[in-house]
Amino acid sequence: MRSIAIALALAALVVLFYVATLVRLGGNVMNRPL
Amino acid sequence: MADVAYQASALRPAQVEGGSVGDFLALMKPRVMSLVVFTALVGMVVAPGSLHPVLAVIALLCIAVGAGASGALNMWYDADIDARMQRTASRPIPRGRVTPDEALTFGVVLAIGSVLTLGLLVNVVAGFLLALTIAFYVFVYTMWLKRRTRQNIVIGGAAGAFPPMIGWAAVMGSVSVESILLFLIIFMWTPPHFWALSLYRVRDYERVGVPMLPVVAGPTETRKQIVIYSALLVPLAICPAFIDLGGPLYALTSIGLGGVFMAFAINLYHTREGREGDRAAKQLFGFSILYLFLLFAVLLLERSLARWAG
Repeated sequence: MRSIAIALALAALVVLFYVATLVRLGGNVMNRPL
Repeated sequence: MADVAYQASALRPAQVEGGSVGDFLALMKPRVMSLVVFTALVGMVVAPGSLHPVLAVIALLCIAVGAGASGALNMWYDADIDARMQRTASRPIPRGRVTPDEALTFGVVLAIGSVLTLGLLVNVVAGFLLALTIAFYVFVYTMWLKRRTRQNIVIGGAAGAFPPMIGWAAVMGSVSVESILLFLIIFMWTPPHFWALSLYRVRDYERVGVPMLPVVAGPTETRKQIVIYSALLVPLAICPAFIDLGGPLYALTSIGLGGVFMAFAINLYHTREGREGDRAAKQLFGFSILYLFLLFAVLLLERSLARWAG
């Protein structure tokens, strides 16, 4: 039960940081040297 | 006999293994958390800047979790006295649902996580203020002042006053006169609020040796101090109307509610005996919550209407 809670919390943090990165960078997230 | 006692204590951790999600939520003091989130939201909305809604939600989430971390760490440190006070005896640690170690780990992880997340995803100033709030509540109030001085909640109240400043900083990236004023309103509101509560819970505090004002200085002095702090709070709470934080509706509300607040405080000063005295204290305690909520709600409403209209 506790392991599941920790796993869910970590997954939520990953999503949170992913979404926040998109929001902060906006379209610039695609703007990188290839 | 000693062996039996030892075996019983050795078994205890296994018995509390099953702390439920609800127990861990209770560790976070959800009612305090809701007031913290609300005042932080007001700080964000009245700030004259803009923040992406997703980042605003993340900021509120971090502030809520940071407040919850403070609550868990407070319950960890105060578990010994919580167990002996009627108001707090049913908290998860005294009831044996969560071990002190679990509460400590939970609190530390949430505190570090919320501060880092707010600092990295929103801005460093907001993250720093959240760290300061948690540190102030845990180290200055809980560990240092609470059991040592009658000024415990006067100084410790600063911790509860920071959230609108954090909300403001999340949007603006700075601290300003307006956010300091919001801080001061909650700071001055805390003593009359908690002293009213401690007047009718005085036996609890006496039993555990927490030097709340009624225990150390007596109920008459406490009533006098409540009137003094109320007289400082009420004019201070009208000030946002003069610096463009609040509009005419806020001016009317803060004056009207301030008058009622003073009336309850003066009534408490004059009503000192028995059940009537307790009732007057409960009235002020209950009204103080409504007072702060309505003041901030009107600030929120006025600023939201102004944004919608303009």
